Amino acid sequence: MISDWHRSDTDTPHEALRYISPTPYARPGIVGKSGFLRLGFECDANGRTILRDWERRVPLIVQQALYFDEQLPDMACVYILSSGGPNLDGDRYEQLFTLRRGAMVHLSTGAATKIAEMRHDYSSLRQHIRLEEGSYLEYLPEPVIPCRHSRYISDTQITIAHSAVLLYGEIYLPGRRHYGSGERFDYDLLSVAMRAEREGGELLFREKFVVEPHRHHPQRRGAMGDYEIFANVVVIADEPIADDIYNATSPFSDHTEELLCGITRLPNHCGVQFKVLGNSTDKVKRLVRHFASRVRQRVKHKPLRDDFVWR
Amino acid sequence: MRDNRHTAAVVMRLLQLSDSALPIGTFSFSNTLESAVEWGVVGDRESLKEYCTEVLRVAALSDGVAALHALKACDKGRYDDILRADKLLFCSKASGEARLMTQRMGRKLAELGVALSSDATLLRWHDDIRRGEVAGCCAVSQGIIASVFGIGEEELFASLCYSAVMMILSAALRSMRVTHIATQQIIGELCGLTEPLLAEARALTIEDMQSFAPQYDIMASLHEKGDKRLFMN
Repeated sequence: MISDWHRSDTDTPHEALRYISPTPYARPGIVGKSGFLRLGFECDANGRTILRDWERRVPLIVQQALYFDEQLPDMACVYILSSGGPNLDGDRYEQLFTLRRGAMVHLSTGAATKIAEMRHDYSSLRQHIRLEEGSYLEYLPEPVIPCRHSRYISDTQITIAHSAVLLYGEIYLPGRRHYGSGERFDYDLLSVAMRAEREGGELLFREKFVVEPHRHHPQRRGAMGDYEIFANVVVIADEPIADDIYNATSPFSDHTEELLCGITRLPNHCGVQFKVLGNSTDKVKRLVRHFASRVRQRVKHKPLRDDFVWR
Repeated sequence: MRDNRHTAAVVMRLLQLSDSALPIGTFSFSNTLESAVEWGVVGDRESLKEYCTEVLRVAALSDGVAALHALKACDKGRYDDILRADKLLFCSKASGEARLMTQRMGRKLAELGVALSSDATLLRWHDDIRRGEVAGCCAVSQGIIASVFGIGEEELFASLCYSAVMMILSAALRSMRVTHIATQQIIGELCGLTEPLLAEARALTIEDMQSFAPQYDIMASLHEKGDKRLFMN
């Protein structure tokens, strides 16, 4: 049950066990260390998506739904902010997003998710995204920046109805690339897991990747090669939609632009996955937005608006 | 309890199941090497070795974990756990061609298994594959067959790692300028990785199966949508 989900115990994944240690300055669980966000969207009588109910606990903040997208004026656009700055040792965040029948939402973050340098413990984000029939969610947060010796666990559960569409894209940077002499893959742990299923519990696909650069550097042929930035975009959609997106997208390798991208069909005919490797944040973001626009065009018959110039 | 003494019969069975001549279709697949060569990711002995190392790691921490899980489940007669390993492994394979490869080889291996043994679990597994009740991943078939023939965890894991690397090296001999001696040297150099990878794989639950190989995945995508192909993946 989704209502019980956030109250369940957090099982520490195997790869984080070696980092568990009490933080001397603020233990997990106190105010500011356990951010919580629950957002429930639904359509009003006029077909506009509204943020019907929400619950929030610092440092996670959502102010209100905005309607700035002239392409889809009824779509609720929400930015998730964090008043606490970067994620610190011992931070445990949870986010639950529910889109009820027919709701249409664009979710993003106000800035990059910076995972601060750590000496103790780890930081985690658990998410449950639930999409009811006919709903549509674009979830395109700003990049994740894991700083030196940071440890970050992200675990996303998706429950999605057959006629709903989810577009979820994450971008991972190697660290603070322009800090000092440049920080690249100096973090301790990046663990990302995702699992999608139908309402009845039927598993559609799962993914888990763990990067521990000090133990096994990711810049090897087959892993990231010579690239530093990785974008992982998942589209869960009905087969005809997924097929059209798959057929319209060509993988390529561009040495000049230092970009490499590919698309594949997810198991159980549940959607597609688009992956990008690159060395320029702007170019990777642009490619992800271009792909996202193709998805929106297919699903909502409108392109994605240009990103704001300040982002 | 499994008898850990390596009888000559068990060793011979292990060699039989690890042989690249085993008729399960390994020869038809390049495990993305074809694209890696075409797009310049692999071009010489050193880059081939590095690529093999990553593929070995991916196989060990995903297929390897599932195979070990299936072996233990089969030993304990827990068929539901075998099904769970198969489902999770199949749902972890993002590339369509990787799914095609694991299912075709898994089915062929199960067919071969029932021709070699009348074990009840193996017969049930083969029947479930034939009726489309399960995905029939190769690693799970390998785990069941290892259990049936008394092959231990270490041997199963080594066999699986060897098969993953040999698939690439065999394709390399047909796709790029590399000698038979060089490919054998690469196998020799990768042997030392198997033990620490086994330790890592053993520490993971079936839910912890993992792989991080975006470049490999993109190579699979380039092959899937490409117009030049000697291999099926």
